[in-house]
Amino acid sequence: MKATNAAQPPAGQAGLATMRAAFAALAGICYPAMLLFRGNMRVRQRRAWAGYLWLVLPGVAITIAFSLLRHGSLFVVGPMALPYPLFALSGVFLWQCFTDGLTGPLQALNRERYFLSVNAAPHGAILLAGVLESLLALGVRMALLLAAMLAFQVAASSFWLLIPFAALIIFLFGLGCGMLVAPVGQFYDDVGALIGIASGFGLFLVPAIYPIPATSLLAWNPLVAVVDAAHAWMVGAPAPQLPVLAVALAVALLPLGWLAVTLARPHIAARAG
Amino acid sequence: MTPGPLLELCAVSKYFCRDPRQAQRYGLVDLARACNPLARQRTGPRRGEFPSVDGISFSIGPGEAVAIMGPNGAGKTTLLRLIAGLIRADMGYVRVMGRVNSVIELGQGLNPQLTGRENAELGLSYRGVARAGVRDIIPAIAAFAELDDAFDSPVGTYSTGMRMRLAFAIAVSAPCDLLLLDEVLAVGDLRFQRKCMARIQRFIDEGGSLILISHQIVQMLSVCERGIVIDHGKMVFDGDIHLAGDYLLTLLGDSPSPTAPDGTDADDITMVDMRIVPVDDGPLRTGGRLDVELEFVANTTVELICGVAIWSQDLSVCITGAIEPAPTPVLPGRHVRRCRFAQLPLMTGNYAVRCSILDPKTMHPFAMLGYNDPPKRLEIKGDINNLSVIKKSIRQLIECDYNWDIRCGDSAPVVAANYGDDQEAPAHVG
Repeated sequence: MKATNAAQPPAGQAGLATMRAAFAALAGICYPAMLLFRGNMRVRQRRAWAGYLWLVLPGVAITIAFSLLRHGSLFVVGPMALPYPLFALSGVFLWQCFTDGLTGPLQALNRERYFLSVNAAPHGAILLAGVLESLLALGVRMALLLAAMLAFQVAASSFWLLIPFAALIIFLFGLGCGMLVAPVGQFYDDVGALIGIASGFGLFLVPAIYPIPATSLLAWNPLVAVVDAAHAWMVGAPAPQLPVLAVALAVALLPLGWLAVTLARPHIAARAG
Repeated sequence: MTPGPLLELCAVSKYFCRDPRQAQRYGLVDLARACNPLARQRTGPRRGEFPSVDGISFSIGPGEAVAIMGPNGAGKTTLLRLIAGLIRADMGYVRVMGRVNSVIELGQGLNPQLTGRENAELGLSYRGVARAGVRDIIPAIAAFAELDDAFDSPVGTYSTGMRMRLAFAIAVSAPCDLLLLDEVLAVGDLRFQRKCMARIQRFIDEGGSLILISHQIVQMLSVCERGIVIDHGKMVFDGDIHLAGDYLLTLLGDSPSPTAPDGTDADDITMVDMRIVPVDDGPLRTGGRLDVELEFVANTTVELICGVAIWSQDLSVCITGAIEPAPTPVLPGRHVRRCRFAQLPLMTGNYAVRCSILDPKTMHPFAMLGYNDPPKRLEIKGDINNLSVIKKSIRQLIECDYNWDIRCGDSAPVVAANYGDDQEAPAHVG
């Protein structure tokens, strides 16, 4: 008989076996995640009249607000290659992709915390369903951005094809960070509150509302290169600096984050369930 | 080659801390330890921790059905969560060689916005059933849960009973080698409960292993052959289910609380009435004869066993019971059974009479009277005197026939015979 559920192996082998099991568990989560994603979409459809509009309304509202401020000279930003509303809309949408990734894991795991403490359902499926919802939101935002670019008569370019990748990189970077902090966040609500503050405040640490000069300290933020690259691609220009650091961090943080939430699950179930 | 155990627990301990802040700190420390692949296991509790499970070792082979019993707070559910892999042992290890399906809290995870079918698909996928398997199992779930057209309606529109039926059907439908059930067999009405028991029995007959936690001893006796008793986190008994049940009752210190499965009369049998009929003229007195008549309607041909029990007025103690010695088949229609108590030893006072009609296979009730509705009142009349008041004050419930052998020196014995409160004159014998 094959050991398909060696719940807890003998001492000494526990750590390595658990780490191996954490990555092996990824194989079985796709089907339940798809079902959960579909279910969540149906629930959203049944409960919200505006449906998918809620994915873009906040970003559009922020863009309109800052465009009006700029128009009334209450907020000064120098000349730029993109029309300002497009600059702000793309920046806000990219930032929202990051916050979706950052807040998603903690919200999903906290929502299902008790369920996961009494049920052996794969937590990865719950996370992956959340990821799929965020990717759907990302797609909707990209579609709206495309429509806005066409409306503002920005010259079409093959660089436009790279813009969704910028959104994806920024989302995966946020997701890695989100999974890494989610275990601590499940023990302490302070983490969730801090993430909430960071999600609002962080918008001003990336070139979303205003450009960030290369000499600024904020330019060290790995997300700045991604947003700058996306802005350059929108006007058909190559990225001033490839977002290599953000990609590297995303690649490193994702498996670490997954390992963290998986190793944390029994401890959360025992104490915070 | 002899197959090894399906489940093996070796000196498993789990500690909890009641101080929430300290528990959070310990949680973070344990998480940090889990991230270190070279970390050794702990050697004991930390400050403020108490053992919920304390050094428990046992193994279960394929096809075994084991009941885990114990008082409230003994650590039964923690043990089940350890076996299910939901939480990790602080000391010792749990090894499961096969697929485990745990049902610890029924209904958790049902989304009220989704239909029964959607919830069933999701629930099965959570239990590791692949897409093709889900398609095969869904019709069986729909049939078992008896939801008919409601299966495709949102679960939020279901009654509590319908939700529980759906949850149970989903939970036990996923194929597994070891099924863990924690207090989940009291689902729906009595007929559905018997159906659940039959489903579990079929799972065992097909070679599955079961660990059952229940506070209803009858359920455990009818399904399991082995019982493990846990008290304060320690395993205090492991052996035959009947001995385990007896051990538990001794441990609890008195008779079990008069709990009965929730539900109404099952479809197979409908209880019509229970009548209390004194046999002799005049009021019923201690030592008198009493008939209890059960009237019921069988809706189908079925085998059954009838039982009558007399309880103290406050329903805290079952004083005596009378269960038919063997099952009898009945045909559809109205039936009357009479049980005669030839010499009722009850003291003067008021009592409660309950009855049940049982399925002889599982000893689970088809129908009951007096458990979920008011029992019948039985009054024993008697003279009120000093002695009767004293006996009542010490809560004496019965009085057996007895003899006193009284000797005074070498004289012949004087036997004082008595029965109940109607004293007979002491008689000289010999």
